Amino acid sequence: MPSLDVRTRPNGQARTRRGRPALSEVGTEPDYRFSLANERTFLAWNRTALALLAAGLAVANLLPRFGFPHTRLIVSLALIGLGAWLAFLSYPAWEAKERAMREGRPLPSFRAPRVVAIGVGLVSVLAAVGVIIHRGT
Amino acid sequence: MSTPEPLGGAASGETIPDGAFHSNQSKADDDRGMARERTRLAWHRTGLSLLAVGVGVLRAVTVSRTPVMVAAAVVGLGALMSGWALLLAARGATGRLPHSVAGPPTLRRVAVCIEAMAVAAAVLALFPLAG
Repeated sequence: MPSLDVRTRPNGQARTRRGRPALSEVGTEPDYRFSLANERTFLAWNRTALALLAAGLAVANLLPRFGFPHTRLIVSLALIGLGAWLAFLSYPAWEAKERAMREGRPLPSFRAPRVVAIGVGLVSVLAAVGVIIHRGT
Repeated sequence: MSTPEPLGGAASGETIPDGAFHSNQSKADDDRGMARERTRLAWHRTGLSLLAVGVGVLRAVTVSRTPVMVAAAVVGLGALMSGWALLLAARGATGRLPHSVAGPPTLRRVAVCIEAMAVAAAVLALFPLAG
């Protein structure tokens, strides 16, 4: 069954939607354990995205209002936005790593860990400030 | 990339010899199926996470939305989890093969499902009492 992600050009070379050569056309097949590890990493990032979505939903629907107006909404949307961004980024990251492994290049850098750490840190500070002000009033 | 790091960490105790990075030969004798098993478990964990968030969305919908939206959310979550179960069943059927790695379309669909879940969560967070 042909891949839905791949289109065949008139010259017979398969291309992805972005015009790059399809993964199966690039380099050589890496050790399958590396591909499986890459797949597990993809799934782990998606689980992180789901955890951020769950946290955002919980903040929006379960917590009482914070001291500042709209603090709860801002915290909730920040968590959900971070989760959506991670899910959006997970597939290109998987593909870039798979392509690099097939071509024998070093794995590309991935900025998500830094952004997630900074994002969760900022949200935590915002939530803590909200809780302190709410307790003080 | 001269010498790859061992896969799976200390728990699995796997080591990969030099020059094995681009080997097309099956390493089933070294691996004993552990990498595939870990990957399958990762799929199951992700499915459970998806179910948990789906139930959270469902709960938020149930509290504040109309019966039609609740029914749509139940059907949507049921369809999503049924699709996930079918995907895992199909992967289980081919799990004995060395190349049982999910292809780009499957992984893209997984990411799209989670993005759709994020949109639903954002709508529910923005309009918690509408309906």
